[in-house]
Amino acid sequence: MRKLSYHPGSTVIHRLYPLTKFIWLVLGTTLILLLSESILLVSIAIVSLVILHLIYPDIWRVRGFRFVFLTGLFLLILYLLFEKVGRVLWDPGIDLFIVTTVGLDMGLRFSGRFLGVVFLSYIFILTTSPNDLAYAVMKSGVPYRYAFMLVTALRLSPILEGEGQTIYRAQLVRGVQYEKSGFKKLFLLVQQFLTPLLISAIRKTDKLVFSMEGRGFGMHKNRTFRQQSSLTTSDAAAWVVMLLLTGLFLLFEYGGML
Amino acid sequence: MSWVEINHFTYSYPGTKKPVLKDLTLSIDRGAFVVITGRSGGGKSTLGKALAGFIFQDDEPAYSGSIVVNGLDMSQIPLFEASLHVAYVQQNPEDQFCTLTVDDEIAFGLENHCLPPTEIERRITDSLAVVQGLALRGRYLSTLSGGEKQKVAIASMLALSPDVLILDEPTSNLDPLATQNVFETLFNMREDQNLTVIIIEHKLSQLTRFHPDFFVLEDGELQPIADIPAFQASFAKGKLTLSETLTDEVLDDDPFVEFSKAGVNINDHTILHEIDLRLVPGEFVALMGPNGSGKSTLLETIMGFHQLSSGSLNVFGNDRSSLRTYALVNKIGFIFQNPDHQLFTQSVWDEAALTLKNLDLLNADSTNRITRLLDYLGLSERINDHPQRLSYGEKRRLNLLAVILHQPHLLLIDEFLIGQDMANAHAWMQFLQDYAARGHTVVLVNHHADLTSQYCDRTVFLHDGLIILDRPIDDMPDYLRRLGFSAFTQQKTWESEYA
Repeated sequence: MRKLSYHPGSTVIHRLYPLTKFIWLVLGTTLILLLSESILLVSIAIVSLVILHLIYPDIWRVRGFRFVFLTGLFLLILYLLFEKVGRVLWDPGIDLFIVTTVGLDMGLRFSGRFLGVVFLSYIFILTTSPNDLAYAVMKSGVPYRYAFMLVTALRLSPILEGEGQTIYRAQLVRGVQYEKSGFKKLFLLVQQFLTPLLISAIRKTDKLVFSMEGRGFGMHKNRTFRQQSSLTTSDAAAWVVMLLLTGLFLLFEYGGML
Repeated sequence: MSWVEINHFTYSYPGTKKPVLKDLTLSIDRGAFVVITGRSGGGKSTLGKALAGFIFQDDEPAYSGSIVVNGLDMSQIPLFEASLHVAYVQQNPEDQFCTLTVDDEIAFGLENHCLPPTEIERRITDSLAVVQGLALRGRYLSTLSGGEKQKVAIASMLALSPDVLILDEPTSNLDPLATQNVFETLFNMREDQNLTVIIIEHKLSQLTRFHPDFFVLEDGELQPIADIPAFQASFAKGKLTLSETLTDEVLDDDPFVEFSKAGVNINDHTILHEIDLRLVPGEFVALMGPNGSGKSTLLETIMGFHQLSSGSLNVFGNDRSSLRTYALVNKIGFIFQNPDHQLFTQSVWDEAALTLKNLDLLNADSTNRITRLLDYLGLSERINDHPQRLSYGEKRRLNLLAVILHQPHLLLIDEFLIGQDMANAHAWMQFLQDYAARGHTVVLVNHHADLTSQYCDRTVFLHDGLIILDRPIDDMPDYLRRLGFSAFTQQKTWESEYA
């Protein structure tokens, strides 16, 4: 299984400016939440899945992906089984398995909505370097002293995750048994786990501050940036496509074209 | 005029009266190569931070005298300005990195100082060229080896064109090959750039061939070291012998651990393969190898933290996969690399008793043993203190005490000697040798070829997840040289190097 994280590549989506993709994600998610036509929601989910496959063929091996996909299918099945209002589409002779128009519509709507949001998020995460995103945010005018927190969080979180695992193992080799502890003991064990983790985090932050200030961080109100990347014609095209699609979908939804 | 002038400098930590640095006076010329050593906790890092101007940023720093670098009094200038003159490389590059990629890391300081992008690009290339790390451009820091990370840490400081470069134990996490590489890089860089380099370091033998000026910081005072062999000889005197009354003898002939053609995969990567290894009672085994060769994974596999992808592993006569970690705690003690990661309780006493308590072994006898061992290891005065308030050396003593009180047959120790001075290292090696002599088995991951030769019985050497050497200790140097790992045999002691 692979971790859900940025996967370097050279696809068109990879090459887009991080903020373009971020706005795509926000706009796409908002659109999905606004739409209620199941056919539109399912279309977005299917197109997103195809894009996902094209940019990362190993998507089924990414940790958690199968689970969210099955959750989407489960939502559909749940509505098919328990929503019996509307015209009957299929009657196998067992009440539970009768499929109705409303059951199918609701199932596709909620399943499509859920999977659409998830697939769009996966596309964003797999194609956007968090580091590039953080720098893009800084260059967009957000004061770098605050925007740099994102870089720091990205830097420290995998380190602290690794340390958390070591601390947990260090507890096990001292005879700790989480699974055989009552609530009170469990609380104590969690406290014992968090104490070294917290101390380590504070020490790391301290050293990081030391390192940052020792290299002039915060000395000037603004700073320069090595990376010169900015919006390109591909981004402009992406913006046009994004706006056209949004308009089209809203027209279908609210313009009575379906 | 001297490049760095320390004039009658005295400093005490906030809230303490006893000075950690006492009336230091020293002149360092431009382009000098200076090595400062001394016991752990003796104030070496504090001196480094004073030279870099960090300690003067405290609200009310308790100091007298002055530190002047290139005509600038470090106590009188803001840290931002000081950072342009003195660069300080921390012990662990991981702690120093602020970004995620090599290029961003080196650019970090330059961007903060508002240099134009073209100039930043030029300096990234130049500084990486100085540390012979041009091939690292564009890479993520998380993909670099320990030695490569240290090169990036140094390059990120060099890019700021400092007058003085200070490195605080830059090789403590590195294997001998990477250590040699870093020292050579520093030496060449100093020659080429006429840069003043000050290294705080314990590995003196590996530095002697560069002929630096050696100083020792002891009891707050700085003294030149004229005779390195004689100086190092003094460390071996404080050995810590383990009294027979503190441990019971193990009378067992069966092997404790048996790997057979064992392989371990982690995240689709093969970390260990075709491992054949037997650990029998009464051995002191040195587990050696380059950084990333699989040493820690091997120890963790014995404890059940990784599953085998092939082969078999028997621990105390049982198939490892059939055992839970808890079932082995009684017989295996495990010490991790970082002391802070294994201190859980609110007092030294509770910490010492924790394993016994979890194993339901806390009784009058074991309580008595805790008292005696705390006393023996010099911690009896600190039993009510919070473990995290102990010094680094005291924490390591507590780590060891906490896992040997129930006298496990097998002791697995990962990089215990990092950050310890040579006097402490000798003391611990003697202690562990005595523990093994009582029928226990000790497996110690370490990089000290000289200490290994003096105290261990056997070397197991890993490379790329394979055991390429498993021999009695006397055969180690010859075999390692033949295998092309001579760097791992070059940390000779004064005895073999100068006798």
